[in-house]
Amino acid sequence: MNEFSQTSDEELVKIFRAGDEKAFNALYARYYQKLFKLIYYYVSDTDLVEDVLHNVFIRVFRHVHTFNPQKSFSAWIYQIAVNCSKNELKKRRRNDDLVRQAALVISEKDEAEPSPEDIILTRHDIQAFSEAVNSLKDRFRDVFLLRFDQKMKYSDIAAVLKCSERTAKWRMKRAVENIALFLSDRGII
Amino acid sequence: MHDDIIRQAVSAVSKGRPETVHTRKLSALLERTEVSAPAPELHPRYALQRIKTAAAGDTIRLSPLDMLRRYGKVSIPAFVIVAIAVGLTWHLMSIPAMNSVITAVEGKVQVFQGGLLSETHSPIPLQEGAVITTETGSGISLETGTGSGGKISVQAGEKSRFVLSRAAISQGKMYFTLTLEKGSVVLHVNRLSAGDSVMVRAADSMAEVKGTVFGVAVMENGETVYEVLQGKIRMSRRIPDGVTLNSEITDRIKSELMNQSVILEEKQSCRIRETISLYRSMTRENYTARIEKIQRPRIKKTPVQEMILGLAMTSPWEKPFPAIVTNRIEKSSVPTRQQTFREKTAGLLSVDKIEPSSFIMYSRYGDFLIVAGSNGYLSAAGSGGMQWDLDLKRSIRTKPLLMVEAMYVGSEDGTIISLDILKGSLRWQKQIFPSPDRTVKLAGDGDSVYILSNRGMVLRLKKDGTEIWRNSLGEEPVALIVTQHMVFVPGKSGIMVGFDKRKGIKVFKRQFDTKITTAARGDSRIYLLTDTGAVICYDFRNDEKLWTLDLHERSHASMQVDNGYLYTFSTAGRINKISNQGEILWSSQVRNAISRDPVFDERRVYILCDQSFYVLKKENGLIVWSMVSPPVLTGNITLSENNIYFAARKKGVVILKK
Repeated sequence: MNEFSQTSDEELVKIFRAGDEKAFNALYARYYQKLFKLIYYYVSDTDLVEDVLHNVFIRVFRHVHTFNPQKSFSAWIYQIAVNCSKNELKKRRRNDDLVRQAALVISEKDEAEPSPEDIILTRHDIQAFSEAVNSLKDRFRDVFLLRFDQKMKYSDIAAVLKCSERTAKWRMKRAVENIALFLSDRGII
Repeated sequence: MHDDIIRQAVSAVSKGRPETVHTRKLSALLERTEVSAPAPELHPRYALQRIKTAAAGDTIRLSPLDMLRRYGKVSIPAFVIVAIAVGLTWHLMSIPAMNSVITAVEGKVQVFQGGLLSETHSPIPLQEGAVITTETGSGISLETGTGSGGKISVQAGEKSRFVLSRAAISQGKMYFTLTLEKGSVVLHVNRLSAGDSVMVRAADSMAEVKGTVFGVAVMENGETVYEVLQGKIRMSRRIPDGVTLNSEITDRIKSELMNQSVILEEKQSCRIRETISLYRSMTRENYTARIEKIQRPRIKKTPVQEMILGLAMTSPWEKPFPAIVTNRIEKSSVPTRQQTFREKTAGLLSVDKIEPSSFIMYSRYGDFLIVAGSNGYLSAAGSGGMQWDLDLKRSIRTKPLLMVEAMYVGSEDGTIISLDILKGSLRWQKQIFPSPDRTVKLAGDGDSVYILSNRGMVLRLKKDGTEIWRNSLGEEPVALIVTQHMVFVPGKSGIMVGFDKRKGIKVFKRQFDTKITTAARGDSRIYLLTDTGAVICYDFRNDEKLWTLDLHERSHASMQVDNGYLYTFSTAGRINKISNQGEILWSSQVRNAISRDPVFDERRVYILCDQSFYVLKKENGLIVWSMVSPPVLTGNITLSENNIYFAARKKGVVILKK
């Protein structure tokens, strides 16, 4: 897969369409973890996440010829993942299965130790932040997670959630406001 | 990254509030935290394989845990066996695997492989470690090539479960091991090389073979029955799975059990009782006494079919079990629905002067058969004997067109001849093409005859021979498709031209990217087969390419549409049934090359190969019956209500019961 490390997603799609299955493997490796996490936002059951992820890649595998390489592949695949996750949730709810949207747990990244100048985040702070995120309405939570956790561009978020870029930005702003309000009420900030 | 947003949020939150909002903390929370998600349980490589397998076929996606969840009744040991089988598959991935393929399926059959449980209705390749389960009234056939030109055919009966434990070639030797957990299997093994190993393992016994046909059944009381139909097997007991003994005892017992091994010959059988209780609490002190209780297997002369075939061949004639297809059917002693020529022959019609590559047609109008010899000799014969004969003294290479009361014959010299079917008299003949053009296709639509030449000239003639129009494709054609308003002629280079039916004007032209080898029409669609083995479905009403399906097989003999379904026939013997959405509904394999156009009736497909004949169910592709035929002369077969007709060397016209 290293041979494709410098290749863009869209280029990989073209290569895969041309018949090189290794390109699909590379795309898969690139998005496997990210999508797993994205689907986990919606579906809390790990087994279910894997099933949904499986569906997402099958759709990609089967419908990759419909993808327009002029557009962002990540937005396309994220859109599929979000749709599949929402469909799965709907299906489960219809069947009265005990499936709830995941109550997300937020934790401190373990990549870097904070310096003495940095604000020290206590476990209490992070727990409250988790609660604040979980208390968001779905439409705000979706945008917030795509931006905050997946580091997506607003244009891609807009494409994934089928809204305008402006709406995506507005929802993000509202999400942060609500979180700030939530944390402020609890004396965290 | 979040600065703007945070500033805005802070200002919004600060409005009307006396507290100071700690912006740096909010920023830290946004920058230095992330959603924790559990790590995926499936290894990415494993998950990727599942996706590709599922995307390639119609499978149900179930992980081993899903399987346990869904099939709560699956016992833990069975689940462990499945897990071991899957593990074994992964472990042995470095060993080159042989090509094992399910060739026919009857009823509900489940295959668990690569972490997927699929309910298979069509032929699929099998991996090592695959677990195959058949339910009541179901059956399955699979084949594995031996790497030396031979093959192993396995036929499993209903309510069976077996594991394809090993199917690999290592250091030039072939290893095939099938573990039968319950039910029955019949193996047909041929052409093994020295050192090849074919083994069937049951609970506490096993059989090694060297080119034979034999069956193994695990009975409900735990007994295992072996039965040899042809050749020999060495049958021996083994220490049951799950028994753990110390190594010294194990070696001694193995040696003892091997000493007790017996050779089963043709039409002999052997029944092995379960011995697992003897191994419980076995110690160094008591093992000798216990082993003595295990008696040498007793060989019985059991009539063939009594036990194994009774189990494996549960399906009656009308509900056939998938047939084992062999290279030489008459040599197979497996009594599937392979019919002898004598059994199926309803009669032979002696017709003189039948030439190779003749054409045979059944006329409902005259209720007789017409044989058109490639040398131009035509004869018609019915139940009352010979009706008429006529020698055109012209070479015929194109199947004549049979219309209600007339027959049209296109000869090699560019002449079209119209005959009266009932009398066999010449109605008219006309030179339509100058040499070197010759007729390659004939089609009719009730009041006209359409003729296509080898160089792409298209003609429309009235039934009385008057020419209405002619036009040229301009290149070598592959098919002649007559629709309600158009005549389509695809060319080999990938061009397809549509001629207006009334005036013959070219009103349509479309270029496909690939070369076309043959074409067929179904409703408003034209199916084009490309030289790369892909089928293109083209909607001629809307001028739209609907789908392309790659069959990965270049050598196609024929493509036909029946009842809205497309059937493709390859010279390698593969038959595919394809829906009008471009999905392969089933795929079946016959052993011999298909070189003639098969024919259909309401329920079945009739396929005539050079020396064999196959009848398949249209519904599921299973071989209903097959037989070895005498060397075939005719370039086609024809059907009447109850019979099948073709001409064979030294036999004349062969009439088979359907």
